Amino acid sequence: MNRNHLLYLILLVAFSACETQPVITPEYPVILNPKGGLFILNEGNFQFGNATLDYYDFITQKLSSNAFETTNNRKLGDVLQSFIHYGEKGYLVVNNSQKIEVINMNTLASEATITGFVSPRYMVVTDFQKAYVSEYYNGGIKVVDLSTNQIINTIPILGNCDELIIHKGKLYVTVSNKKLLYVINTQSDVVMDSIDVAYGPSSLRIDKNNDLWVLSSGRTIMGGGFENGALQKINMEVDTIVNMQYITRQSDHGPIKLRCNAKKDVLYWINKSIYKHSINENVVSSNPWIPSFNSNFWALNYDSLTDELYVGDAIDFVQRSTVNRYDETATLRGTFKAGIITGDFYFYYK
Amino acid sequence: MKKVLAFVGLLWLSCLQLLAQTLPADTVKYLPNFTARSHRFESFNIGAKMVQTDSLVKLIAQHDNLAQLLSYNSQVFVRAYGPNQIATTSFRGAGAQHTAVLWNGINLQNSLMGQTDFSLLPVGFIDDISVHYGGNSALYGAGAIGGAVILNNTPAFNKQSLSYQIGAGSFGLMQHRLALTYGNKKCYIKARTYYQTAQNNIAYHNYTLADKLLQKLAHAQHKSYGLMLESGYAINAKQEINLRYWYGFTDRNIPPTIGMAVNNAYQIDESNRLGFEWKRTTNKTRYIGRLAFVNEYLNYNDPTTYNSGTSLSKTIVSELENTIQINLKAALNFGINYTGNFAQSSGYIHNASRNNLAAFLSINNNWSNKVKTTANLRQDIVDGVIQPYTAGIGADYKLNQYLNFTAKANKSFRLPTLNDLYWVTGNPNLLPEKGYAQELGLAIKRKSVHAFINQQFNVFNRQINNWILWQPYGGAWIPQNLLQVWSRGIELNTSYTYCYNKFMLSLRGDISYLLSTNQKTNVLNDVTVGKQLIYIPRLTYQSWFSVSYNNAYLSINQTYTGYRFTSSDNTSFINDYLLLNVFMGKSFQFKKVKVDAKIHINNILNHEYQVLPSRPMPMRNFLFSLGVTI
Repeated sequence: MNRNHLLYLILLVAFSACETQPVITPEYPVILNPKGGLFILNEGNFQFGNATLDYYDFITQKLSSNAFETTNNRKLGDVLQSFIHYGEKGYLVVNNSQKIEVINMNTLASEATITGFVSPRYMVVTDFQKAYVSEYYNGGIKVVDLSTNQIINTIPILGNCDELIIHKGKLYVTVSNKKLLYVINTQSDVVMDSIDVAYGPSSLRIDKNNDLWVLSSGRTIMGGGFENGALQKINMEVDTIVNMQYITRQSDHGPIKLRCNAKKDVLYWINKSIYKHSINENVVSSNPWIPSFNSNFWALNYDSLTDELYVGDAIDFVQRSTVNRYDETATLRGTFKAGIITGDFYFYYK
Repeated sequence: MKKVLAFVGLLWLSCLQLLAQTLPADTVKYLPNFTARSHRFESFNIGAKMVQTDSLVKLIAQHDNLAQLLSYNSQVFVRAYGPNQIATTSFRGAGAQHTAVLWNGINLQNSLMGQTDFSLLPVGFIDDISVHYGGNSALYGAGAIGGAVILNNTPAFNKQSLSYQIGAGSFGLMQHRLALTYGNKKCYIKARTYYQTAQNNIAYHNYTLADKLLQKLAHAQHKSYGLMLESGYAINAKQEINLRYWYGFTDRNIPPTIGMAVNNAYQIDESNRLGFEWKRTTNKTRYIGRLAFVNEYLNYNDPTTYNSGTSLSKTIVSELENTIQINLKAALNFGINYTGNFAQSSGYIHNASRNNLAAFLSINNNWSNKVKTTANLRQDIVDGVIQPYTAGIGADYKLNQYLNFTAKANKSFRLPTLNDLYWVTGNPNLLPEKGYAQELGLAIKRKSVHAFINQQFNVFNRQINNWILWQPYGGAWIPQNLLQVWSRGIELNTSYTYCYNKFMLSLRGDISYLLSTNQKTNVLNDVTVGKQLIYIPRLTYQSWFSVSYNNAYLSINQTYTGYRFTSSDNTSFINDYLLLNVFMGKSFQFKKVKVDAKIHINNILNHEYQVLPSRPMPMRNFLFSLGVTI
């Protein structure tokens, strides 16, 4: 009994010292292809602080996961919403960290952090002195001087500002909890017009004819039923809608993430499944181009180099996403794993 | 860390020296079998692992909330979102909704959320705290798939005291507690109240910044106060009534997670709980009638994201039970329970309600001096719909004076919460969860004149089908009967107590290793099958070393929590942590006045840790307290 007790107690103490934690190392080191590559934006879970940036090399077809942390030896933050590059610099908009991380596009090394936001979502650049950042939660549009990385002005807009786009001295801003598309004069930085659209505009693209396409998500109405979203074509000369096609919501988020091909004549979006629409057609097809089944498609973009459509499946939103590549005939060309909640793909070519 | 382990190891070894001299008296309080005073959750629960919080730990934990107590004194994993922030429990790999909380027989699980925030329950308001491992819906009611926390207030006939205690601690903690007891042989009044504020400006390294600066947690202030009023009246030798009222208020700011710059959200919780109890006890029967009104209000508000919501949960419970000692060997307990839930929430389209009527029956049988069994059966009818019956069986076999075997099996269920059903994005077609659990136990007991050794070994197995999971589905969170969760594990508990006159030494070690994995998927690309659920540690370990002599005590507590996965495919995790806490105190008697002083040093190793991702927890911190009792 005493000897057993002794063994038992030793076991008891030894146990806690034993459990070794797994060591998670990136599969491949971060080596940037000089000709460019794919930046994969993984939102991560809200308030987990597990947003990551993955880098995918087309030539070697290797993924460097969590490339920002690997390069800079610190975590990126909470909810990586969007990314753009301007010149040699890349701008990572980290929504719930209320910041934009500025990185060197050749090394991914951090160069600066722009702070002072409420809830930054998307960024567009006019020149090195001026960039616009849309903000959720009545934060309006922040005007940022990229030479000093300071916020220099706020254009007040009530509502949840989302994707924005610049065309010929005009800044178009979607507000995803309204039925409005705002037009801002980039000389005066004053709201000059607003265009009535279907509820919940959140993404925008300009086609080869310089027409603006706006995708509205609609909404679920508390108390039952829902308000449909729509795809709208806007003539930017006169800022009026020339075609509006309502889209039946297939999931709770409705139609989101409007993207276009390299020739800018075909549009794609997620509405549970993936839908496709040629800009020359007047009616939006109700048949999915890539059906979803049980997938949770959450990221979409078009690679102009290989003419492939990249689709991210967030699965249960708490595991690594699956990325599928499809060709123009919707045939699956390849699959790989990215980070948690892949939200967008950014193709960068020099 | 190795040094600490070696130190603890040494302590264990030194205790063996004492064992060699074989020893004594039963100092550990045992849970009674059927007696007129005890309640059915203990007496009709043969084969179950029930652990009562010992008096020293209760004394130590007087200033803490139940979440803190359970985290260092039980094998329940407490998911704490930060200092004084929401804290929920996981029993043996189950979810927060699978814990029943029974306050004098009244289930306090919030009907909207199905879970209980243990950070809102002050230890100082409760007289007896027991943790019952393993579920048994047939005994505790629907929801108890994982286990139950039993909170009881004891009557204070013939007792009088008045006490005041002040506590001050790190991170701006201030606490005042006042208690009055006045009782004669016919009636009593107990009143306890507290007021607490804290800044909770704990330090943490911000690993999203270039130099990983040590920062102070902002916007984490907390204020809470509460009142526990009890009174009782002994109508005659057989009958007794007790009336209890519990008020609680907590206002807390919600701090930013690491990586967030600011958070302006706050949450207010306010609760009113009124419980009435009638008991009639004779030699052979005991009737207990209970009537309770529980009212819980929650207000969450984030002025930045204009994301806010309020909810009000009103619950009426009425229960009548009867226990009959049929003969020397058999006892029977049966009764009916009505629970009405009425809820308002800004997330609901309409107010929601649920009426639950249940009948329950338990039988204890002592087959011989060695074999005891229990059987429980319960049938719930919810809004007129007959629910799956629940059942439990347990057995206890005493091989000899040293060895004891136990076995237990039960079929349990949990109804979807009102939020699951009636939230804007809720799902009215959800099915109840069903749990099937089995466990085996072996206890080895040795005692001599001055010492007592208790070793317990348990293995358990449990499957929960139709596990309800909220998943973000395109911006909206939607509940579904998604998972099938298989939990299994082993638990080892060992304790040694030595008493000699005014000297007491006690050593305790608890280990648990468990796997809790999802066994089902219906989603393409999902790789979670066979993977450990997130936030559930496989290995946890606790040890206590306590000495007390002549109204002075010193306790060293060690708590180890293994790493927890943060992604369902088990590709990411948060680090394990080891906490070492030191508690000491002494009381002095000046004629009729007792003065007691306490010093607590928590996390003395100054480890930086998180229970949940990006939510920092306090590093080394202190608590000083001074109390006067008349």
